[in-house]
Amino acid sequence: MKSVIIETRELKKQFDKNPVLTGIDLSMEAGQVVGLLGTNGSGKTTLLKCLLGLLRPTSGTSAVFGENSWDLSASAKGRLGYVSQEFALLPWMNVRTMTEYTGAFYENWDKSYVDLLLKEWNLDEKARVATLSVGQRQKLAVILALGHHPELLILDEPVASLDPVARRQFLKSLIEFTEDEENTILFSTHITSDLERVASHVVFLDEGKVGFKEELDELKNRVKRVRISGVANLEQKLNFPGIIRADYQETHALLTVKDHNVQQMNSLAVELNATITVEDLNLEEIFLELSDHSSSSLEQVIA
Amino acid sequence: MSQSTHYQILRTYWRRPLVLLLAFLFLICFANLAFMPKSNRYSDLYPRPEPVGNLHFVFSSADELRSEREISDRTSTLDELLAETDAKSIRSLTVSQMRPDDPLPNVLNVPHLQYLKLSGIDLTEESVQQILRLPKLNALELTSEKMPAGTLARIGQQVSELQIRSGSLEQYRDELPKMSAVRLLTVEYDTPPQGLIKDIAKIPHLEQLSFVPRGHQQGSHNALVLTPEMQTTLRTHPTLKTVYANWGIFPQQNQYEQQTLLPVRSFPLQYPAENQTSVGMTVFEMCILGALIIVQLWAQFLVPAAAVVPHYLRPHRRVAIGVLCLGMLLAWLALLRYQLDLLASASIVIASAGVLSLYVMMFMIENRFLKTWVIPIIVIACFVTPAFTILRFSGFSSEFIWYMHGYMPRLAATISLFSIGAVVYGFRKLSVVTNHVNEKFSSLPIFSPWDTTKANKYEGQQYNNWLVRLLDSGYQQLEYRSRTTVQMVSLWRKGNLFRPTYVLFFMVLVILFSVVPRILMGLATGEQILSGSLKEMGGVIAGPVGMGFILPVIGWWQRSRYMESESLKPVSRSSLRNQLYFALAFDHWLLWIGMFGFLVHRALDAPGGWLEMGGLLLLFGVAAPLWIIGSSSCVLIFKRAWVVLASMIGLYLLVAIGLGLAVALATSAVPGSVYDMQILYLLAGIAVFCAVVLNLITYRALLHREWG
Repeated sequence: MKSVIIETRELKKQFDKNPVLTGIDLSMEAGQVVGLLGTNGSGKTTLLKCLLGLLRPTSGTSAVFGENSWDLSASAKGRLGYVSQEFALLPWMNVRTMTEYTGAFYENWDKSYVDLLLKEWNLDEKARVATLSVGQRQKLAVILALGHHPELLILDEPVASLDPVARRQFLKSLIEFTEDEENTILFSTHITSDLERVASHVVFLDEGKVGFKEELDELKNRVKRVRISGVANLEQKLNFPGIIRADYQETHALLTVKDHNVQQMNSLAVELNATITVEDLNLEEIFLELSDHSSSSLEQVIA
Repeated sequence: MSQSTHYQILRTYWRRPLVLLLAFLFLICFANLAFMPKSNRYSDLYPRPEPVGNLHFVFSSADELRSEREISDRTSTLDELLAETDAKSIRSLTVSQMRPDDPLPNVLNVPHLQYLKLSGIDLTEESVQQILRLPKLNALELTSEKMPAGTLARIGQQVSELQIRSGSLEQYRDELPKMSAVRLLTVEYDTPPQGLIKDIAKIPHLEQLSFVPRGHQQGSHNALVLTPEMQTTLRTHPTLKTVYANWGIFPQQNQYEQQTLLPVRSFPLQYPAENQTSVGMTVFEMCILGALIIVQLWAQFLVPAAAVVPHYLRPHRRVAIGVLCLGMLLAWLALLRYQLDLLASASIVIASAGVLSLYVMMFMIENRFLKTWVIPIIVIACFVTPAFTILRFSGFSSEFIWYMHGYMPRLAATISLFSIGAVVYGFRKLSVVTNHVNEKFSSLPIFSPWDTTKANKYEGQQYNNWLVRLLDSGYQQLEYRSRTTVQMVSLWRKGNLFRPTYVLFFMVLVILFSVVPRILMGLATGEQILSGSLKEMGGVIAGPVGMGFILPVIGWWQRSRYMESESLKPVSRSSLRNQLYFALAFDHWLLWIGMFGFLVHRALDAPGGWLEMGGLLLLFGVAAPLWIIGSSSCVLIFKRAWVVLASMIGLYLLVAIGLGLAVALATSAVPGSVYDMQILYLLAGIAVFCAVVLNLITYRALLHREWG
């Protein structure tokens, strides 16, 4: 059994009287690459900050490497890397001094690896951080987060400002990062295509709670789109559990179902004298289908 | 534009805590100006011979009854003074009479004397000869009326500043026309010397004339009343510019004299202290108002909506003008309480707004030609205005009083019009701010709701200067060594743009530039350079160290914006607290140099000797820096700008209240007395205790800071 890297129990966080996290139960094992999905304001960034001890939970517990997130030891912090949404870098430094300054804090800083990434990602070492474009700064922030080979990498929308080439390079680095060292990654993003490339698991946050957490392949196998063309009006007859969404047009129906079952579809085709076509959904489509449901019903839908 | 739009915009003002805080400060200043009872304190306004450098006091002869301790203090004879101090460094000297028949000590032993006051010493032919042989003597004060004939004629051809009793002038009035060197004459009298006016007017190059009742006994009984003939005599003097006297009750009498003596200006001997401070406080009040409007407009004009929403700027501009006008009206009404002229008061208020407007535009104007002109105007406004209100520069303050009482209406109108123009120009150009910022800024400065992640070429250029590049060398060979607190503190400090050593370098330059001219002067004149000027050096050191107080706060506030990522460096929460706290504290080390400078400065004057120095050391060497560090740590403890600002202001207000209480407690003490020492040590003890408690509180609070 793999060790648990991140674990939260009934984690709640509110700002003044505004609750953002309303009871997060989450567990991540070593080696998992977890994509954190959720609509704007669903609490993704707040969750990541609570996990890192940047925010103090209002109630509940949060642990990383088995330590209380709010009071992480130096060694625990030395095992994690973080790229924030703002990727706050000291603007008066140049790229080289920024890497040297950051590296001075880490015992296991890999200078040659950092130099390699700087070269691969075409970052000018003499350029002042303030003069870098947003994408270049994001690259630098990622490099700084990888420089000490963290066991846990937490990224808050890390590719939002990267161009397609840089995104591809970044994803490649992430894959190498996990393949070579079996490290753990938790990252929030809105770009689901990237998440599909690297993530092993998906966590969907909705209204401050975990809507679901599932293996990506499993999720994609279970959630399907079904097109049905029959001879009679279908709306009254298609009433079986597991339908997430249904659109009807007299003898035609378009359904999104969870727990897709081939046998069930075959028998339905015979029963309704209808033609049934099953389509795969990509993660973005699944995300869109699921984000229409509130978190209370979402768990029931997926469960 | 509907009224509700303006109301909605106005609501954005009181929804921002920072704006509310600034408004609160503005109202405190306003209430202070408008409602505080007047103290009836007056400051001397009239010019008199001014000492140069340190003023040394000696007695005409030794007093056998003096104790050993007194001898070691300043109450020495000239010979004793010369035994301790290099004669060449003495520029100003007061000689007081010890016994009635004491002759003038041999002042020729002090060859570089520029200012001499003879207190109670009768002049003899021999002493006059001595005085005349002092080549650099320029200012002379005589309190005795006894002098040989011809003294005034001879001395009046050598010194340009003279303070003398009216009796001497009456005795030798025929010598006055020969006093060709005298530019400044201060006449002390027991009864108003109207009869002397005609004779004094014969001093050929007289520019400033003062009539001062002995002991400053002012009132109608010793007021100077001029007949029309006397007025004509003064008015027609070819070089006379100003006359200071007890005219009766100011300003009513001044109005009378203003009409009759022009072009010679007449002033009272004293002027209400509040009138000066009211102008200074009004300027400060307007700075707060300006900051309030700028902070709000900055936020409103930087949002993308400002660039894309049609007619977005106009209502915001109107509301800002409304707030500015209301604030200016309040400031003006408060200023009128001090019986100052309507137009002159208005011009001060409007000029403050104008200078602020120019200051903002300085950053926004693209036109280099305009920019070149704006900067000197701001510099002049910033440096001349405070100097204008300081009585020590009597020339300035006379001009200031003349101006504030409405005798320079054209200048007031010109300043007002120019300032209104600057404000109008500033508000009209506000749309430039939006475009400018969109194009050139990205991570906007603090107090801005702008997206901080936008690309930023302008900021990059800002950090590409040689000073920042100097920092780069400090990161070479930087690598992980160990985790001792000292090393980590050093490492954290390397992440700052603020470097105290740079400030120290600047300070050294300031000191060098103040010392080098002295050395050159010393080489030229053969004087010994540094002895006697150590006191001034203390002041030189203490001055620039003010930067050591404010710059760490700014530096760490700037740094705290990046601490979200930085706080995840491999350091535990408690260690991070320790390291950051000590790093911030260490960045204040310039303060100790400043305090040391102050103590050196004070040591030369401390009547209580080492005992007093110990108390001062506790107060200024321990308590004050600790309190400053505790206050500065607010930038690390709190996230929001207004909370940081409010807490720091609150903490320094506490100091002000404490100082007020301390002054009230200490007023009854005699300097250097045992009681005085007890109070000093009591205050120092309380101050150290409070500073330590403050630091303990802030140190604990930092542990609970959420960096995200």
